[in-house]
Amino acid sequence: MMRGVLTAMAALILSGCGTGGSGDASLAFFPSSMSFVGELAEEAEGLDAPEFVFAGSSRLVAQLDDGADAAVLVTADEETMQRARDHGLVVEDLGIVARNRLVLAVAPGNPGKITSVDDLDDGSLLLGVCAPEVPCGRLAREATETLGLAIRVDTEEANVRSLTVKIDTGELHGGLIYATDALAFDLKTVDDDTLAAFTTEYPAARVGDGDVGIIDYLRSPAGQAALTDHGFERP
Amino acid sequence: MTTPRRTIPRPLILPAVLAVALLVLPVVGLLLEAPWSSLIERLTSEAVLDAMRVSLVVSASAAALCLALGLPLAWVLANSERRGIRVLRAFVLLPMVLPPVVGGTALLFALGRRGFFGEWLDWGVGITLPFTTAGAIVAATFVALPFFVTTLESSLREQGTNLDEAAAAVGSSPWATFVHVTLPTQRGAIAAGLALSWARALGEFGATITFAGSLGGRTRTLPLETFLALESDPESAVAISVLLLAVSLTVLIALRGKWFAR
Amino acid sequence: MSSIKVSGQMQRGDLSLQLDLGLEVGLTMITGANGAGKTSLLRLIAGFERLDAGHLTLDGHTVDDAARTFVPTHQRSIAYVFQDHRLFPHLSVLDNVAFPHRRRGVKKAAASARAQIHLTDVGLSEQAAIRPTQLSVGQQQRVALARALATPADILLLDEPLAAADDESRGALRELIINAPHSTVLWVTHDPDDADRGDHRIAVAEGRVEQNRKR
Repeated sequence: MMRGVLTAMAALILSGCGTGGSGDASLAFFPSSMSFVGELAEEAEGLDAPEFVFAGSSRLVAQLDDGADAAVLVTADEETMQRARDHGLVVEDLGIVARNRLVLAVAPGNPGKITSVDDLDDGSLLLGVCAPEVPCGRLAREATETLGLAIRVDTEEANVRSLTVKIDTGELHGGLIYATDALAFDLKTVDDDTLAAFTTEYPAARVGDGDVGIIDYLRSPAGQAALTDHGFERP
Repeated sequence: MTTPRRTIPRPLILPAVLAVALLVLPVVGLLLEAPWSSLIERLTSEAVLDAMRVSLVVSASAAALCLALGLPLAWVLANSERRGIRVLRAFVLLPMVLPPVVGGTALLFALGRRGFFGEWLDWGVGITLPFTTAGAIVAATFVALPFFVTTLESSLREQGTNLDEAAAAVGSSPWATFVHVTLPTQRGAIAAGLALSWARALGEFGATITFAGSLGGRTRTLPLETFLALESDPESAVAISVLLLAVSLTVLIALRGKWFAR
Repeated sequence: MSSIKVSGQMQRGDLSLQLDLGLEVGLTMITGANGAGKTSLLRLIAGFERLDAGHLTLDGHTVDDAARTFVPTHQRSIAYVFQDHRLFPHLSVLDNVAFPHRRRGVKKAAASARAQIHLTDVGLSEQAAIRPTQLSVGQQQRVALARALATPADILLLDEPLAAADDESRGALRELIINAPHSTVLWVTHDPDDADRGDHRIAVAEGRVEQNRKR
């Protein structure tokens, strides 16, 4: 009972942080990297915009575990969605809505003179990746292991946005982030070809009663165009 | 003859109970969720042991720095009558009211590689702080220092200048007085200040992750490890939380005399 | 030559101290009602207070000119007995009395030996090892006296040193003070029995030194 009370309070507060609205609209759980979708949905014609909750994918699944009442779930990688399935949260898979590429972004002006992924082994540079506990970090690890790269990083950030900020401010010479984050901060990327194969998928699922129109919208040409504008790739 | 217990005014009872509930329930919830059967195993995993080592080094160093830097500052604040002292005290209290992430950001822009002073540090002395254990220590000291300084200043003020005058009156220089009179008589307050600032440094998260980053074995302290564990292994997060809770409670219990006795 | 010369004024809250006096070697009793300014005068000479105007000279040296010149307490050749004794709570009785010697570089053994002698003079040699808080107020005051007597200085300043003393020790302690090694002794008292004991006597009333007469 206590957990239910606490969860309900948390969900109320979280949903307030999303769009701060009525509570009648259906709830959509989206990963933080898609936070622009909130505004997008408001402006989209013919779409009954849901109330959004943006958070790290694992946190979203944890909330659903605790009984949060969302209609739609989108996660930043397949592994997290599988966890949701394992926990019996998924009612219906709705397919992939987008992909995100891993890129090696460099600080403005490229002070570290990074030209390829081999530079990730350079101990004199300050480099960062996401922690392997988060999707971005898992993708980075997959890339480095598949490519047989040795990397020397100085930080494993808990979320990709804080990593991006550190690259943008020049505190780090470079790091492995998503294409969308690089675009959002106007960061140059290097060695795109080598990393091109490494992408993460954003699966969507119905997880409860409510409107899932947002997914249909994102898969529509208008939605896809908006997604690619922000640096996502088509599913 | 005993003093009769004072009757609690009716309207105060409910809010007080709610306050206790607010403070106690999260702790109870934590203890209920804890994976007791696998607790030891989780707490001795390599990642957690690494985090413990980092936490110990960072918090102990921060506490030591708080003593070395905070005691002189506390003395100045307690003994100075200059007008600017009030402004100085406000600055000292700032990390206490500033959100730690803001503190970390400020540290980054001041002492980061491209920061205001950081550039000089890097170029002139060859020291870079971000992403190093030293950086984590600086972040922890930044947030913990006010705790030490306020504890000491308060205690020094309470002691007053009587003994200082007595020492001077028999020919003791200010420094000799500080060493032979002030330090020994402030032992209790110093211990309390150290315990508080150490506990604060141990629990520091926002400033550390912003300024020093997070790397296992180097800068990932127990709170950072907890935060990450929440993403993939919540039960371990709870386990570490229980550990930190136990440590905090121990400190508070050890301090109960000093902190609450006024 | 006067030992202490002060000419000027000092304002502390309600009290305005107007001074123009010279104090000579020997024992000077300072009398006056409570709040008249006796303690303030003593504190001024000790260096715990500064003049607002005027100057203070000790043995020919200007120690306070209400402007740039100010010699701090620990550099003045003074010893002080406070009304509230102010013993160091973290030191034993013996270490309290040895403190002045230790601060002057005397090694522990020698300092302790000298302190023991002073303690015996005030009749507390048995209490050497205990902490001041375990003594009675009267005993603490005696230790404070011993500590001041142990301080090598030209000027000894005493603020009601016998106020807490019991009758039987009062006589012995009085003799100790009268025979103190310090060349100039200023003794603040409001006990009329003591008032006539000194070589000189001054009376302080409402911040003014009224009489400055020799016996």
